[in-house]
Amino acid sequence: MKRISRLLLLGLAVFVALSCVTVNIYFPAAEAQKTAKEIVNEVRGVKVVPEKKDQGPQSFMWVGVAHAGEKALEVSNATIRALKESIKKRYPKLKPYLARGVLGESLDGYLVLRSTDGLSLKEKAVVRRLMKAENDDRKALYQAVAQALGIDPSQIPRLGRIFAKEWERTAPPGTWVEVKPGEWKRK
Amino acid sequence: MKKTLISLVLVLALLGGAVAGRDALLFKILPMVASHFAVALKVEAVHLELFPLTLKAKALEARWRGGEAHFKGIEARFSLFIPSLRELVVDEGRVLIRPSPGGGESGFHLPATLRRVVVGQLTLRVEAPGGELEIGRCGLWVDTRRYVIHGGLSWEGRGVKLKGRFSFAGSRESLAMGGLRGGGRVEGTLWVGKRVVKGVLNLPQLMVNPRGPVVEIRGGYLELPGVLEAEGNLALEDKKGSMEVKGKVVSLGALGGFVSAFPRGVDGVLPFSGKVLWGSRIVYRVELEGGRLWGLNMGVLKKVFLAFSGVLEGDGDGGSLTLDRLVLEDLKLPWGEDGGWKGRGDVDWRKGVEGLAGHLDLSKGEMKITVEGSVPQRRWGDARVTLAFKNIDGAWLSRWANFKTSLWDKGSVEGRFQGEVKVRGGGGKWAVEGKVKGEGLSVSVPPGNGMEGVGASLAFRSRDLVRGPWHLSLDLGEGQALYSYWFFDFSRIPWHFSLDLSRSGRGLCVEEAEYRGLGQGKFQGRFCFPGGGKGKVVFQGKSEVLYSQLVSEPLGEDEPYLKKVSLGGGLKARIFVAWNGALAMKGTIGWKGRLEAPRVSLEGSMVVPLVYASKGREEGWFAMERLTLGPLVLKSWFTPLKGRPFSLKGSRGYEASLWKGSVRWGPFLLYYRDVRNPRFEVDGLSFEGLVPPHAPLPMVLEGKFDKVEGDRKDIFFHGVVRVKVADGEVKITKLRLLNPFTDLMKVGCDIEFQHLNLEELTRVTPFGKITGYIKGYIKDLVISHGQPESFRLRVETQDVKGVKKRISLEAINSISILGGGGPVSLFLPFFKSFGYSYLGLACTLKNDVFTLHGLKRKGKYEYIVEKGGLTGVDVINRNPHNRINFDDMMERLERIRRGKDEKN
Repeated sequence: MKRISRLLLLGLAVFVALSCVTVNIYFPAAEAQKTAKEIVNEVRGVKVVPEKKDQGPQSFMWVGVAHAGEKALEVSNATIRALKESIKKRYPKLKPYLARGVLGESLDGYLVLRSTDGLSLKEKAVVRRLMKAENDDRKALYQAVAQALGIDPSQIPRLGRIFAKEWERTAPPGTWVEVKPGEWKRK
Repeated sequence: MKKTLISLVLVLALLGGAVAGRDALLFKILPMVASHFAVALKVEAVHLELFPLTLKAKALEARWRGGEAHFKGIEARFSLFIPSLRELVVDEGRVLIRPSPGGGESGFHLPATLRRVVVGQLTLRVEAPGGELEIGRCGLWVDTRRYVIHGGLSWEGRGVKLKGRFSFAGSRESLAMGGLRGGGRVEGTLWVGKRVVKGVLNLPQLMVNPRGPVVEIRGGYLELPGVLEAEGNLALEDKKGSMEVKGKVVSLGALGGFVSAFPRGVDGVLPFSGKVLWGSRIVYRVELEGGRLWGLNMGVLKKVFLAFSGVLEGDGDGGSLTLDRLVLEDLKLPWGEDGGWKGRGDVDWRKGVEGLAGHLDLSKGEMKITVEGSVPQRRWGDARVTLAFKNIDGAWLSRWANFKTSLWDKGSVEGRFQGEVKVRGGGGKWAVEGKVKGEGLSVSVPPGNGMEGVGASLAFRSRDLVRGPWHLSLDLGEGQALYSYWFFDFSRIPWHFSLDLSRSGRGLCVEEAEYRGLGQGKFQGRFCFPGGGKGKVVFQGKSEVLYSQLVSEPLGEDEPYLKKVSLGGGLKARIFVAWNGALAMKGTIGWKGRLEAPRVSLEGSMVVPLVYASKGREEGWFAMERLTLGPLVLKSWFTPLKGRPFSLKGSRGYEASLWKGSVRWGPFLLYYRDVRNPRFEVDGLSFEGLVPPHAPLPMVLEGKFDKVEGDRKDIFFHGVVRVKVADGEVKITKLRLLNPFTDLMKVGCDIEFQHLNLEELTRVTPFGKITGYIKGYIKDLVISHGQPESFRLRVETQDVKGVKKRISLEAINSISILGGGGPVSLFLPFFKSFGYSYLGLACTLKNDVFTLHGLKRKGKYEYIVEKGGLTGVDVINRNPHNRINFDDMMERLERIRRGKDEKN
């Protein structure tokens, strides 16, 4: 009997130990891809067909609320909106430099300076400042989206790579895009 | 018979010397006698040390062929007096030839007829001012028809080292004629510095006058296979000689000695002709084609070389090859398209400069060098050297100077230079003065930094070009510069620098520096590169210029709020700076002016004490004349500021009347050990009885924070704000600012409220009239960019005696619209308001999704508003799982606002 008890205790200990070392990292890939696509479409001005709204019927003497069909829910909040607005506002300034091959879209979701040949010093200064501002906003955006989606901060680089595909997809022709680590091609 | 007798006498005398032991025998060799006898004499292992003119012999072997007599193993020491060789002393195995006390005719004279005579092996070591000459294993082999002189030879001195063998052969007849006459050959290796030259010197006609040390060589030439070819004439007269050489140098090693201060080496095709002065001087002429001279070492500019071709003439001493005279003409730079030298000059370093004038005519510019006065060897004399140049291509100059530093690696320079540099010798040093003007200069320094289209003027002067001190001033009046995010337009704001530099054991030191441009600055002290130093920096400028150039323009794209800030007035700093591997500062920064930002305005002045990584203390003050924070206007605050290591303390708080109430705060403290994220604390912040003048509802604000603390990321307010409004009270706690100094600033807090009169509240909103009282809370409220980002709201009615609870049709419509339904007024046209017994709702916002719930639950329905009687109205949430998008909610609120506007 004692022996059985010991075995049971040992089994329980092993079970507890194994339970303790289990690490689950949540990463909603599909949702992240959808979010990235929506955000990038919006800030890059890619038009999508809006969903129709459904006005529900009302009842006499009762006032029914909240049964109306809702707009497709996005991952957003005030910070994300502010960042989207900032990125959207900056995009017209960035676009010519992307198309000229001055800036490139890297695999990790950030802008990279490719070549400043032919740029005046003033333009170089503008490009550097734009790139830093854009990358800082993107970094903050990835953090905010990760927080909204409940993604662990350690997985933010993965989120960046998902965004990278959308940035590359919507980049203007002529943009350098990183297709493999260290391998670039012009769109 | 006579010859035999004399030979016998000689041999017997030598033998007798050996046998006689210590008694010296004196031989007088009579030329007349010697010429009639044939002797064979061999001297082996005899070492002769000629210093000065004393010869020693260690072993001697003599053989007389006629009588089988010979000497062997005799220790001998003798002094040789060349004029007559009349005295030969043999002292117990020693042979001593004493010089004649009276001196006389010099030279080696043997008027005898000799046959097959070999004179020992000699080693001669001669120390001379120019070096040391050693002639070893030297022998004279003479027979009846010819003589051969052979031996080893080495010479070392002043960077030149020679090692080789020589041999000369002549006829006996020439000897009989009173001299050594014949042909010679020297084969060996010559080291000049680290360069090695191997070759053969052929001297087909060599004449040595036996009556004196006159050696004349005619038609000799030096063979340096593949390296040096030369032919010429070497003659020695009265301990001097000369050798005229004509030849072609394919490659010649480094020139040592003084020459190394300018050209450290010569490498190229160097045909030359010239004259070599034996033992002391060499006169030479070198033509260079595509050769290179390098080695100019100025401490800062290393590995500088000048490559050119042309003609180099000079003379110097044979030991060190010191350049005494230099002629440059028709030099071509290796970049053929760049042109070459035009003109000619002569420099005689011994006598002084005799008008070296050159003109470097480049296809991309031109350069002219003129020299006046004299330059004695190794001293600077009173020569005046002028280097004038114009239209010099910057790219060429950077190639020429071979600029490569850690800062400038892979960089490039473009543009054109012109100017004049004057160097004047005197008092053992060079004084220098010059002006250089650059136009359209572009300097590229990876990664992408640099200057473009810059117009620069550089002026410099020094009493001693080599040792300093030096004074430099630089004006940048056109063009632009970029470093990282900082961009400067010199045509808009010109820059001026001036530097006083000196040289010390620590390196190159800045003693004084001045700057004008964005402001005016001055440094006094000593700051050395490398190593560091310390000094005092005084700087003043306009705040507006400094802020826009250094802060808002470079950083405003990243932090747009910086562009919304403007800073007026003036800035003045006085700081002692020290660098010894780490920065230390102590001083004050003063400012007087006005700061404007959205909803914030400050007028005042301050002297901020700064003690960074330094000991001691500094004092200052802050005087606020007027501070506007939105509708808040605060006036007159003065506090002393105390600077301590890494901290700043404002010791006096503030108290003032405001909006019928008062506001006060206590002393503050700022820690800046981490300069990128300083922390601050305010010891107490409170306000009482504030009645905001333009509030939509009458209200009284009271707040008390025991401490306000924060850094760049967060500011926390530890306390409570109470707002008495609409018959009730709103309590705000956990107030904090997130990212307060960025455009992503957020405000967070918790709010509790109770006994708020709905009638009062709805009166000032477009929501529609509701009467009654409410209580509730908003937890975890975060506001970003003026919009709520998240919260948890709960509101419910509060029973108050004598207060009716009624809700207007307009308010019902508003609730309906918020819930996603349409207006209901069409269905309830006969009533303006309804009674209700309970109103309660909970609302959350997270990730832009609102949820809305009624707090009263009956069956499967949630009631937001529950009717109070038969005529009342129920507002029911039919979808407890509803989720409302933020944009939809904003749209619904807008519809409510529009409805109100249309009615009005």
